[in-house]
Amino acid sequence: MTLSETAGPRLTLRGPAHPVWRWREGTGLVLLLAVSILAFSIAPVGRLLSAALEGGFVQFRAVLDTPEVRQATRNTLAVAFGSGAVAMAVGLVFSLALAVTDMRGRGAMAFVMVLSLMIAPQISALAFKTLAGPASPLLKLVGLAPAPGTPNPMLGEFGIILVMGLHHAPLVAITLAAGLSGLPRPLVEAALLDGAGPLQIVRRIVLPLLGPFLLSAALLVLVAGTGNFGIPALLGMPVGYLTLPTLLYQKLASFGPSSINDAAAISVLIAGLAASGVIAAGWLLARQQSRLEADFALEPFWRLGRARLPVELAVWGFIAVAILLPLMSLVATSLVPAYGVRLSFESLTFAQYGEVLFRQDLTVRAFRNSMLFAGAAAASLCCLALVFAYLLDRAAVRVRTPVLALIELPYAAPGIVLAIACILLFIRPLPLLGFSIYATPWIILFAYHARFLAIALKPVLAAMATLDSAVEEAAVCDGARMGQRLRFIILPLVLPSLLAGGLMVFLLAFNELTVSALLWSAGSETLGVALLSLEDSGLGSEAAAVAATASALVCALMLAMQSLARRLPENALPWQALAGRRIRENS
Amino acid sequence: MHRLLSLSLGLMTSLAVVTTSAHAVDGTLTLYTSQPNTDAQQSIDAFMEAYPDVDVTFVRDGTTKIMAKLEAELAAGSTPADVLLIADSVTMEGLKARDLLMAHPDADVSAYADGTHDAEKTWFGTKLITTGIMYNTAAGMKPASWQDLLKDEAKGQIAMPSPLTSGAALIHTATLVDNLESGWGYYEGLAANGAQASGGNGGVLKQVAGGEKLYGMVVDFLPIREKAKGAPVEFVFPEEGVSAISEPVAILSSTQNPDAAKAFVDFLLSREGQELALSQGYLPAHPEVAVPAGFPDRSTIRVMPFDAAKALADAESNKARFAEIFGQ
Repeated sequence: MTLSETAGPRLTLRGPAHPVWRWREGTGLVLLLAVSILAFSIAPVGRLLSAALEGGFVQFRAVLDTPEVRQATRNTLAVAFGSGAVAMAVGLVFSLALAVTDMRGRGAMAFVMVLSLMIAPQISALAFKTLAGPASPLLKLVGLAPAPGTPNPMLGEFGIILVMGLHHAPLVAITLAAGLSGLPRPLVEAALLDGAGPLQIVRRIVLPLLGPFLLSAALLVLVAGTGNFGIPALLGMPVGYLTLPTLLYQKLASFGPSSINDAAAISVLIAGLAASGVIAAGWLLARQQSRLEADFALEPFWRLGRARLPVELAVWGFIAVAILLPLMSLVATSLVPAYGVRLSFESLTFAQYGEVLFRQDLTVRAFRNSMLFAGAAAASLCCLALVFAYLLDRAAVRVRTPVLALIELPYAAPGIVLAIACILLFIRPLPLLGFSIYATPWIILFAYHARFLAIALKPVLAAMATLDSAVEEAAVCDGARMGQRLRFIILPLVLPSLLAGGLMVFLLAFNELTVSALLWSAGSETLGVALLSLEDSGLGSEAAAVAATASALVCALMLAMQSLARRLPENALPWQALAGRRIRENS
Repeated sequence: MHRLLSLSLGLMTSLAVVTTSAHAVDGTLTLYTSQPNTDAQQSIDAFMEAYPDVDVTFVRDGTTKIMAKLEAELAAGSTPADVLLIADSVTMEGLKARDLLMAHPDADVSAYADGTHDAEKTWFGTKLITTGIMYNTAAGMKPASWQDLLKDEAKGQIAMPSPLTSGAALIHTATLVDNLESGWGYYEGLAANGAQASGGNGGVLKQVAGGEKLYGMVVDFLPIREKAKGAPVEFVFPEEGVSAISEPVAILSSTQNPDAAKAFVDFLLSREGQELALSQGYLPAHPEVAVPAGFPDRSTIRVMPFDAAKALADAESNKARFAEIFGQ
């Protein structure tokens, strides 16, 4: 899930015009940066490649050239392209509606849309799974449930494409919102003066200018779709529909470490598929780059007039069906005593909540672990992000660009690939140190650091780039050492961005399943792992209770972020950027 | 002389007391189990009530998967697991052959029939769990034989667990292949009839109870228990017989806390532990403990014979063959 910071064409970073004093200090911090990159990016990738190619290229091909891998590759591509198309269609319509029309309640619409992205994919999948099919408590309640023996339409390819498409639609919408807000208003105003209708403006001006953003959004969802694990794990594995990430998981989970080299080969294939998308995006974007100067940013120009209410109702209707209804179904499922029982006042029970929140060690521990891992990763990444952003901000572009690319690598790669790389790195005791962090919580924390460093870093880097170096120079003249300058001058100035990045890391790590599904051990189960385990035990109602509680926590956290919004830089929260601008009073 | 003897006897007794207290049962214990989460937690809670100084945690996954986890941990140097409570004795025999299990010579197995536990007392069967057929009560055809699953009425309507996840399913597959005349042909027939094999028994229960499939191959206690809660399901013991596993418990030789581990094993084998299994809806291994509601009498359950040594030798090839037939 890449959010606004990574979306869209790359930022053109300003070149170094830095005085010499900047290079005379901070050797220790530079060393920290170097070690982090070595540990989080270079070592995992290197180890993965060496394991995949250990038996030579012939062996590598033999692993990949099996019917199951070929089938899983076909499935992965079908799911990635299918869900990508759904996400593009929904995301485009949504972002346009929010950016160019004068609908009311756009802030709330954007909030719910982003909420649906921030709810873990495996929870979305579970929610949709309970929504349809003969066991659906909501359908049963209104007497519309299909007869027993009817397969659940959400299980299999169709369901995966639908759920993944809807889940990734906000990603598209956020990316496009970044593009839309950068479109020059004068162009639209000129067209309006010439008597062009709003639809014409959208078709002839807005969409063509949005081209590069459409492309980057499409590739973003393709890559996300290729690497997604949570949705095919819940909707595909039960019916034997395997994508590459779920095939990999199944192999490793069922055959153990003996299959690790096969797993490495498959994960190189997944990474290759994802990377070809990223490289294609870079190439196409580089060709298309035409930067627009947007001194006057786009504002809603489509007055809906009498159509406003129906359009608003349609948007809310869509949100209700695609986002709220599945969540309601999830809650309904958590309230029945056994899966398949009809929900009624007599059968309604809260026993599942008592069971998963207070009684069962595993789920209680999973809530605590996910909080702890996500919190620890967010806190420590905030510190690293501050230092690294400071160092990178004053580094030459030729240093900064490759360093940023390396930091981005473990995040851009599908999570399952990173997980395999971590297993390979740590399954043997560490050289020199003689102990292993495999099968301890530390391996999960390590993986979270590698994966989410880019998320924590980007907003701080952007904030750092806008700082005037004169303030710091004044401090240098006053004899402030680097540590003092960082703490007393830089930190207060970039604090909001630092917090925004940290909260995003917390949310992503809290929801995470892909990495921990392979790295958990006794005592370090995360929420995602507990959810899969309950589903696998056939405890559908308990799984729904865990999912509903986790979603409520995420929603509460987002509301807390919203209440901080006034202290954050403009558009620091993804749903603010999505909601579009307010209409000026006078126009 | 007499006084001397009684003195020394007294000394010995007090020494014995000291020794027992030195072996106080406390500390932590990690259980790796394939029991459904709720059952595992109940077993642990009951044990901790009897031994309040022991802190037990558990890890749950299908037997095949939890063994894969154990293997990975052993490869990395050590495992946190102390006690295993998994589906089948075949897996236990495999571990025993590699010297990974610790014998518990003092375990009281006097009430149990031979064969329900290892003669060298490394693993002990705790229950009798059979695999039969479940169906949704809305189904038209009521199955009575394994062959009924090959009928047209069951086309595309069968869910079954995969040996790639479940230990019970691995034993079940080996048993059916050995006992049914058609052997692997039976499974090929199931695949041709659109049977879907994936995950563990819990998933099968969910699909049939939810009505997404009408028939399932599944372990007995799940549907019998859910039926009591109101789920629209029935369980049948097919006429050819059922396959059976014993959900054995064993201590890993690498355990740091053998005393607590032995206490846990003793607890599961005790009358109290067996009554607990009964209350959870399992058929207890202890022959004198009653049968849970919904089960026929022990003597009427026909268990198909099964060659454990062969199953152990064939485990990997059976998994591969199964995966091939069902395209996994």
